This record gives sequence, structure tokens and C-alpha cells, in this order.
Amino acid sequence: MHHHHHHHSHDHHGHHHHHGHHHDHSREGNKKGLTIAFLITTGIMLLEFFGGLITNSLALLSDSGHMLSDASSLVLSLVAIWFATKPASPNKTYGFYRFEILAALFNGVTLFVIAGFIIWEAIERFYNPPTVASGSMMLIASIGLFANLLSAWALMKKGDVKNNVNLRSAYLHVIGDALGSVGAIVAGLVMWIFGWYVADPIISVLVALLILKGAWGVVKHTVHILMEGTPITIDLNEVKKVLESIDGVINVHDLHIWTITSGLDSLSCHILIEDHQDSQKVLQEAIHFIEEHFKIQHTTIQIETSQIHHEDMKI
Amino acid sequence: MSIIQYDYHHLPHVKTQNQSKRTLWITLGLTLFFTIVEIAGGILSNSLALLSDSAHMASDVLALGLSMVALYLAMRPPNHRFTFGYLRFEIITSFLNGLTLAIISIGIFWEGVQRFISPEPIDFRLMLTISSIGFIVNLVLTIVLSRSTKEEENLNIKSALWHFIGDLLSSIGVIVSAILIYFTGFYFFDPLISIIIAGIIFTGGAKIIRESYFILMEAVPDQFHLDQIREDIRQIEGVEDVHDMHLWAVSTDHYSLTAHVFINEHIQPFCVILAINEMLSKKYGIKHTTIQVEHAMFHDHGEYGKEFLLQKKKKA
Repeated sequence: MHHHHHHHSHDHHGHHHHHGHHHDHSREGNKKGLTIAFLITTGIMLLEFFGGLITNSLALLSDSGHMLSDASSLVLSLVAIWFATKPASPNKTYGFYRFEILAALFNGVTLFVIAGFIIWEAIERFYNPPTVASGSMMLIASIGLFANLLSAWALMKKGDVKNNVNLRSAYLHVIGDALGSVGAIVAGLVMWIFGWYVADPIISVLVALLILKGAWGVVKHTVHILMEGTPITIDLNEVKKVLESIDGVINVHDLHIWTITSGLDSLSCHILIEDHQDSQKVLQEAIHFIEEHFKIQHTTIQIETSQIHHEDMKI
Repeated sequence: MSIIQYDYHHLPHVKTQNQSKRTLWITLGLTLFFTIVEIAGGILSNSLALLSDSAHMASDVLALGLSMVALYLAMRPPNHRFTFGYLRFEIITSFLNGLTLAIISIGIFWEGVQRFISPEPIDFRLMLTISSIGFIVNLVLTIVLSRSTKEEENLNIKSALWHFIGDLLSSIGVIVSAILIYFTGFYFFDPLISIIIAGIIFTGGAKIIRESYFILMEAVPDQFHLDQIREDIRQIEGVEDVHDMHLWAVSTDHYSLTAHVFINEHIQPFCVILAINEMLSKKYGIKHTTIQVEHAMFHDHGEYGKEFLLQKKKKA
């Protein structure tokens, strides 16, 4: 039993070795960027929330609602990073990487709900616009804008915004917030100069639409990953063509490429070869091609000859 | 690429669930009908309570609609973008439904706590009317759906069912508390019952979240023990080592396994693959497998491969 266990931990060790290097490094940076952004966001969220209540501005309140979702998304992202460092277990053979994706899905859905609330409230206010203390509102929104830009900068500087969905969704949130603050400042100006209080709910709806747009992107992307869809950057037919070009290969079937978590793809397929071919040679070549052309390191390939193929056709 | 089949698969990644589909259409139709009735009633009688209940019903329609989309997607064959087919959408739907249930139950709990602190006067007649309508509607829907889940196992339908169980319990709760308050005059029955109902809905939601969470995480399904399967593969003649093994559920009752095995140089690789496939299919019912047969000597396995070869040498 002990022997057995030994083997097990080893094979996953090897696993990490494959993909680890690049990831470990950016993960630390991601964590730092997220922590800074979280602290800033939470502070401004509280400021805008109470500021919104005192100045009676929906634009501020909706911006703080947006920030609430950001703060929770940032916490989730941090939790996700912590989870992902937990090693794979006999029950979770792919490790906990996927928690990141689920966290991102949850964020996306929360954003939909918040946008709905804001639009609902804005419609009510549109018919009966309350007076807003525009001066203090603009001041608070300006502080919010500054802080948002600061946390966007922290995320971009420290983390891998381009390749990590989770971090990208956090980044998009923060950028959306900055735009929301700009909107609130504009609304404040309009109310201050013209006394036109309908500006507040109108800007709120615009903020809500902004939230919706971001949310849609995140949900679409995470659902694709959770459905084990082929990564957008990889063309399955191309992979098939490359594999079928190997000497002695008759066909490639049961081909699957899916994403475990952002930046970590997995491939499995069956390759039917001519009976006289050396299966190990074909296997080597296939693994090499896949890594070379498509940067997929986690592969499982079943080499079949005519004997197997016929046996299996019944299913 | 042929028109009939995009890519040959040993196992089709498709599921047609006629029973579930029929049930879902019936419930969707009924819910939609009652939502409209409630909206019309609310506007005619100028009752805010009836209108807010209709908003709740509308959220049920939304949940059912999502489940319906999942059922129809499950029938679509796999393509180059979704090589495992569309079965997993059902799991995502269930996950979202489960989350919604948990959030709804927390909302109910919160309201219950608030009313405990400051009890509000209640309009008995209105309360009884609305909850009786809700009771009948939800009773019918719960029966229809629970019959279907008995015939076809489907997490998606189960999560939809929990929505209606929750609603049914709420309306029963309201009726019971209205009667209790009427006879005893103790207003705390209302929040107390809401809190209990919140607890029940939460358990249902948590169960669905748990089940779908494990599938979405690509965890080993509960009924399988990976170490046992690993041992069984190792028992097969010619197999010397099993590693990089994954077993996960694509959807409920739809499993996939991948593994790498080191084999003896003297045995034909295809014999090993056939034997492993037969064992997995017969003993565990796992039919979608990919086994990579390797020789530790040719294929670089770093430290792991070296140690394996060293131990093998020692044995010999």
C-alpha cells in the first residue's frame, strides 16, 4: 500500500513539473495584485455606499454595487488561487484549478443580478427624480475614479491580465468601475450646472449596461470551459490534420481537447495506425507534434491497430 | 469530413430524454399560465402581494427555461468546438439553479429574522388566498416533475423540482402560520416557519450545488475508487505501471477515463488496451477510455521513469 501511494504522489509531481514553472511565478504576482486591488476596492465601495445614501445619488449607489461585486470577485479569485495550489488528490485528479473557473462564473451571474437591480431602481427614479447633493457626489466619485485606476494599475503591473480568465475578469470589473465613476462625475456636473436630476438615473442605467456587457463576456467564456469546449485558440481540425500527417497513421478519432483552467489544456485521442508500424515511434512523434505546434503538454493517446478497431466498433 | 459523422467516436456523446422533455414542457406551460394569471389578478385587484408573487413565478419560468435549453442542447451531436457534446450544459444549469435556491433561502431566512425582531401585521385573507393558489399550482408541478425524475435520472430536472418543492413548502408554511396566528394570536409563528422553510430549501440547494460542483471540477465520481481501478489495471497481464490517470464525469452517468501505462516489452500493446477496455467496461461500466501505452525506456518520464526502471532492474 505504501509503495502504491508513493507512485501516486510521484506521478502528480511529474505533472506539476510539466506545467508548473511559468505558472508558479505569475501566480505569486497575481496574488499580490489581487490583494492590493481588493483593499482599495473595499474602501471605495464603503465610501461610495454611504456617500450614495447621504447625497441621495443612485449613480453613486450603483457604482458601489458594482464595487461590491468586484470586492467579492477579488476575494473569490484569491480563494481560487489558494485552492489551485492545493495538490491533486485521488478524488480530484485534475487538482483544484477549476475552482477558478467556477468562481468566475459565479461573479458573472452576480453581475447580471446587480445590473437588474440598478435598472429597476433607475426606472422608478426616472419618473420621480429625487434631489441629489451633486457637489459631494462629484467629490466622492472623483476619489472612486482615482482609486479604481490605482487598482487597475496594480492588477496589470503585478498579474497576468492577458492569459488568466480569473484575473482578466477582475481587471474588467475594475475598469468598468472607473468608467462608472466617470459617469457619476458627469452626472454630478449636469445636476450641478443645470439642476437636471434625471441625469442620475440615466447614468445609473449606463453603468448597469456596462456591468451587463462585462458579465456576458465572463459567463460566455467560463461556460465554454466548463462544457469542455475546444480552447478558442486551437483549431481541432488543424490538430487532426497534423496528427494524420504522421507516417503510418490511418486516422485520428475520439479526439478531445479541453481546458482544465486558463493556460492549462488537456488532449486525448485514439490514433489508428497500420499494423506493421511501430506504435511507440508514432506515439513519440504525436506527443512531440502536439507540444510543438499547439503547446499542449497534457496528452493521452491510445495507439490502435486494426485488431482493436474492429473489436470496438460494436459500441 | 463526411456529412454523416464529423469524427468517429466509440461512444456517442448525446442524450435524448423524451420523458424529461415532455414533463418540462408541461410544467413550463403551467407556470407561465399561472404567472400571467397572477399578473392579471394583481393588476385588476391592485394587490402588490400578488404582483410580487408573480415576480417569483417569473423566476421559476426562467429557471425552467434554462433547464429546457439544456435538454435540447444535450441532443446536439458533438462538433469541433464541443468535442464532448453539449451534455455538460445541464450540469452548469443545475449548478446555477442550486445557487439560486441557496440565495433564495438566505433571503427568506433574513426576512424571517427581521420579522422576529419587529413583527408586522398580516392581512389573513390575502395571505390565505395567494398561498392557497400557490399551494395547488406547486403541488401539481411537484407531482409531475417528481414522477419524471423517478423514470429518468437527470440532475437538471432534479434542480427544477427543488424550485417547486421550495415553493410548495413556502405556501404550506404560509397557510399553517396564518391559521396558527389566527387561533393563537402569536405572531412569531410566521417568521419561525419561514426560517424552517429556509433551512429545508437551503439543504436542497446545497445538495445540488455539491453534486454539480464535483462534476464541474472533474472530480472522480463518488461511486468509483480510483486506487481500486488503478490496482485492477495493474493486475492485467503485461501492465507494469499506471500513471497520469484521470477519471471524471462528463455529465451524470457519462464517464471518461484517461491513463498512461508502462507495459512489458514482450506483449502486444493492443492486447493490453483490449484487456483494459474490457475490464473497465465490464466491471465499472466505463466505456469512454483512452489508454496511452508506453515503454519507460523510450519515453522521457524524468525522475519517475528513472526510478521505475531502476526498481525494475532490481527485481530482475
